[in-house]
Amino acid sequence: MNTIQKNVLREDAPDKISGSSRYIQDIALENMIYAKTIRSSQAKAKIEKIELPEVPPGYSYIDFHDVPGVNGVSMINDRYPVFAEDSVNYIGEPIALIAGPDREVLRDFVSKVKITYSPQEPVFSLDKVSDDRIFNQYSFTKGDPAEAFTKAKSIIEYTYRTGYQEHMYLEPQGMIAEYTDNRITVYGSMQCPYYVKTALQHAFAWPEDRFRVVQTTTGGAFGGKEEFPSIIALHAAVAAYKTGKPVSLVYNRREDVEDTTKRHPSIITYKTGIDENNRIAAMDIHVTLDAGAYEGLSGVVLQRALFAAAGTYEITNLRISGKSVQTNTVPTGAFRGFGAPQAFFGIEMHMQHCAKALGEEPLDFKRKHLLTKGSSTATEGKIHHPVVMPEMIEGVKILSDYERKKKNCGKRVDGQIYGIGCSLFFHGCGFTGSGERDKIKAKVRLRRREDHQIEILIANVEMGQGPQTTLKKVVSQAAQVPLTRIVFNNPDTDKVPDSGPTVASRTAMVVGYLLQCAGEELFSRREEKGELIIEKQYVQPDFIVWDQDTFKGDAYPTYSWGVNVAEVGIDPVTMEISVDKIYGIYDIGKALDKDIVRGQMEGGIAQGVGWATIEVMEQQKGAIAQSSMTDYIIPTVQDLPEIILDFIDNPYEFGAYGAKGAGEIPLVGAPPAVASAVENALGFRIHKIPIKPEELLEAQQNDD
Amino acid sequence: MEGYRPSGLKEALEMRKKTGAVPYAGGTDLVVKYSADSGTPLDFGKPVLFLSGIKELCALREEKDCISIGSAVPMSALVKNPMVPPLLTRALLEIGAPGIRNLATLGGNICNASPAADSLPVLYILNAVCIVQSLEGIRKIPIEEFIVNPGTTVLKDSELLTEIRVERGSFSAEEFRKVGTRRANALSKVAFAGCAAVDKGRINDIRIAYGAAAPRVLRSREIENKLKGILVSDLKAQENAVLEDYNTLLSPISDQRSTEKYRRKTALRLLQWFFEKLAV
Amino acid sequence: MTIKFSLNGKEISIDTDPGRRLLDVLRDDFHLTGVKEGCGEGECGACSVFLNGKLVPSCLVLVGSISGGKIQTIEGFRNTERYAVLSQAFHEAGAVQCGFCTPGFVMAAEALLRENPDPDEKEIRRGISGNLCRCTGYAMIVEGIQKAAAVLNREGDNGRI
Repeated sequence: MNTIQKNVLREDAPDKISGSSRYIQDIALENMIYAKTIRSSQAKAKIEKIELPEVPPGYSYIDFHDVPGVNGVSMINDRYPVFAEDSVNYIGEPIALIAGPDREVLRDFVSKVKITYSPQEPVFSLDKVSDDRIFNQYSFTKGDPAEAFTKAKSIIEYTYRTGYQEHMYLEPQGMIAEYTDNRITVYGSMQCPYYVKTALQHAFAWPEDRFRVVQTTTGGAFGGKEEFPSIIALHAAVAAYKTGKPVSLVYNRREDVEDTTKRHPSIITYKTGIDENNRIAAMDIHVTLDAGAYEGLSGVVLQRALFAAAGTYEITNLRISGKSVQTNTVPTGAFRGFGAPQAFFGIEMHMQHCAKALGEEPLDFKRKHLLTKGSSTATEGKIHHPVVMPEMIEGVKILSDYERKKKNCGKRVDGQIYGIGCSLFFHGCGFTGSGERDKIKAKVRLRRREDHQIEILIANVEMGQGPQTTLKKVVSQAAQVPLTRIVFNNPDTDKVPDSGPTVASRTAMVVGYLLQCAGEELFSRREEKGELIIEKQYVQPDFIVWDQDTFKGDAYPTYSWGVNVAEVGIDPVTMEISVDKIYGIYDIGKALDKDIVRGQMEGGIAQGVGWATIEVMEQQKGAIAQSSMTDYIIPTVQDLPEIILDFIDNPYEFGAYGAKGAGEIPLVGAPPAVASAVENALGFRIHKIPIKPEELLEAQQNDD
Repeated sequence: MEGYRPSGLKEALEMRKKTGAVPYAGGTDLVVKYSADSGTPLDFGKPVLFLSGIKELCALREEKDCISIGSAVPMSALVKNPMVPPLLTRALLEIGAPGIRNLATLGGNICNASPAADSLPVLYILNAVCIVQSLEGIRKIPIEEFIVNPGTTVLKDSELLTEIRVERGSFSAEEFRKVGTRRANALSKVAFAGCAAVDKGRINDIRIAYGAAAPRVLRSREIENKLKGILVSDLKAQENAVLEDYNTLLSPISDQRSTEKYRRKTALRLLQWFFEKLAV
Repeated sequence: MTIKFSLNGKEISIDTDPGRRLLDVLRDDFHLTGVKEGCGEGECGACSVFLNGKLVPSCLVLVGSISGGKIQTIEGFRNTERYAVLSQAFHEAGAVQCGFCTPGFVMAAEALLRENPDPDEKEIRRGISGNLCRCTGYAMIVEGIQKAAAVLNREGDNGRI
């Protein structure tokens, strides 16, 4: 089945290129009105009084009183309010909406709203956290780290930090809701139509058949449209229900940057015991994540971070613990990698630092500890599948000419201070733990119509990453039917079963596999006449053993693996970092389309490079300091390295045609490779990203 | 908002005097400054005067001892024109991006008077003179007197900046360096403009200016005069004293883009870098 | 204020607040939704149109300033043969993921190639430096533009375009 990898032309491209594709901002329904959000100006306060200007006729003021059922947005729990009631917990928290036909009137109304607050003491610190600020707290132990530490020859301890990251999808978030025939219909930019539907059901407290959610063409998401859309959908839906008119709620960029979810900032501490053979005898790792004002998905982000915190290494005696902490800042949430980028920055820099402390070459030191097939993971599960990392490491060394170039570290090359560094990483494919089996229970449907078109009916969305091409290829191959006969429309919950969210690098692997099975059944039943509907539901492979309460066993069914080498040049005058080249070799099982996979790798690496260098986002007393596209800097075409890629086939038997997860892993590996390269160029330890020239200059001066 | 589209300079000056209307050439700074929600009109608080059609503001002329640049010429036209001093072209190419440069003007960059405006350091070292007109007559104001504070110029409500005259500038060494938040389409953290006329190892003229390192562009003729006449080979010996002199004048800030320390230190390093280039 | 201009080849006269952004006039009054709002601050390039043949971010242009001018949006440009070449090249190069930035890149590419029909890679990168993409990392977009330039130059030799 090698032909599936050959790239085909994406069917969604022509309409996108010509500007004919309609995103939510392009859609206007008849009688549609607009809504604008009234937000908290305080990080933590009680709302004493809200004085409104007169609400003009034809306009509606909507707040928590108008939520028909429960004023809570269903995520893991529902403690994120739809609208703030008598108190606010972050600057930008939604308090109310004003809705009506003229946006100038809305703007004017909002400017005249007067809210009287009793400010309370906000909290921002991640150090010395009181128990009442901890949303989630976990720990697990493998072996006997306490004992191993007492026997260790030396102990190495460092702390690593990572900052916010803003998704900056080019299409700002937005929804349109309408209430007709006793039903709420929501259209919008989203990754998870059924998450939105569940949130609507919960807050309205109506039965599920009164809700319909339709995804509109989505202009990028990267996790930022995983859980946050439920909030906008609820706002628009409550407004539509109250006014009886379709309501459009589309954020402007500043609002999107300030007030929607971001990547969790992290602090990760490592304590490593080294034995007399210069090998790691024990590790004690603690992860702290800044969850912002509400818990959201922080518990799951934390879990993934913990399961990744020991990296690609087999550590016999291990204690991993972590917590997500409440601060009075904008709530953080899902972002490509989902805790793994933070963890891999920590572990990869730490391995480099341990190696240097021991006088060992970092890549050799890392290699000595690599997981392999049969290894025991951090959660005492097993690596069930072949690990081709040694070949990948050799491959990337050749590809990048690593050994020769290493000698130039710290020297001037073309006027820049040269550095080369590497990273080894994995990404657990699919939902963490038992989520796939116990929570999602993905269902897919293939419908062969009378006209012999085959329709893919799943809840997973196209958001740029290509499933409207790759999954069609899967079905085409499985059912042995030409690609042109396959249909895959943007999901509508009235029409598609819940195949789970478009997250966790699960779409090609998990959903694709179910579609492959359905397609193969379709082929075997091709002689049957008339319409044919085939449904498949997820069954957990029986080699997976996992205990969600103790975090023991196989946290993931399998892993994708990667190695990165980065070459950088530091300007000796300004300390600006130029990331010149990144080499990446990946094991993603099987590429379902060469071009689409390349696009994912290059785009993910770009986001990783940005997060490690120029994407600076800081909060000051709860206010985001870089709150526009002008101030939050993402890479332009001039800011990115040349990227050289290679792939190794290592098919996974329960992924579509062997495919494993591919969407997130490229972002995971780039930052530590870049940071290692910078460190190797300058000679002092990098323990924090983003790496700011300001801080490099300071470190250099302190060195002097 | 009221809008006027005068067909010539006289009519523009009349409207300006009558209404104090806000001059709008490229408009890129104005639109960002007064930005409003999607689908809603901007309001400058005064009428707006659309100037891009006015010929008198769009001329580019070579005069006897200077280049005269119309205040409303889009930057993209300036960067293509060989009449424009190369150092100024270099600075303009660092502003915004191609699309923005098709709108943005030198007049706008000057009148917006941001401490971080990238054309300003070069204009200062090219001894730019702002030609300001009103119905009452013409004023010729050196740029360092034209800009008084961040965002504030001496332009009266009845006046328009019509031309900028710069020296032709032939130097044996000229450098412009912008340290931005990224490689393209970026705001400056700190900017450096320097030029020198070196003949037989002797510095006959040297000019240095900094952007985004103080409330206004920093240029000190006093320090420059100390360096005029000395040998390039003696620069190294003077370096510490010169750096200390500039250090006392620099007053950068910390903001969402960078820190006071970084801006200060990098500004001084850029001077050292410039001196090294001269020594070569 | 009465503003007369040509829009995608058609003569238009509107009476509107001159303080409205060109972006909003195009999208709301003329339903030209191929012109996108990505940022409203001139940073992302998704709102790019041609004003008198020059690439501009329409979110930074007040409609009062375009009197007597000529506007072409992606909706106008996509009816041309040059567009067909660019579109095919972008498609084949795999340059499109979520697509939101794409029309803006097409306009920027056209602006570049009109002025510089045979740009090297550096010139291409400079030409699109005002357009942001968050999905692709840009390399495949650059390749698409290189492909298009090659085809346009070939066909240009034959006098067809």
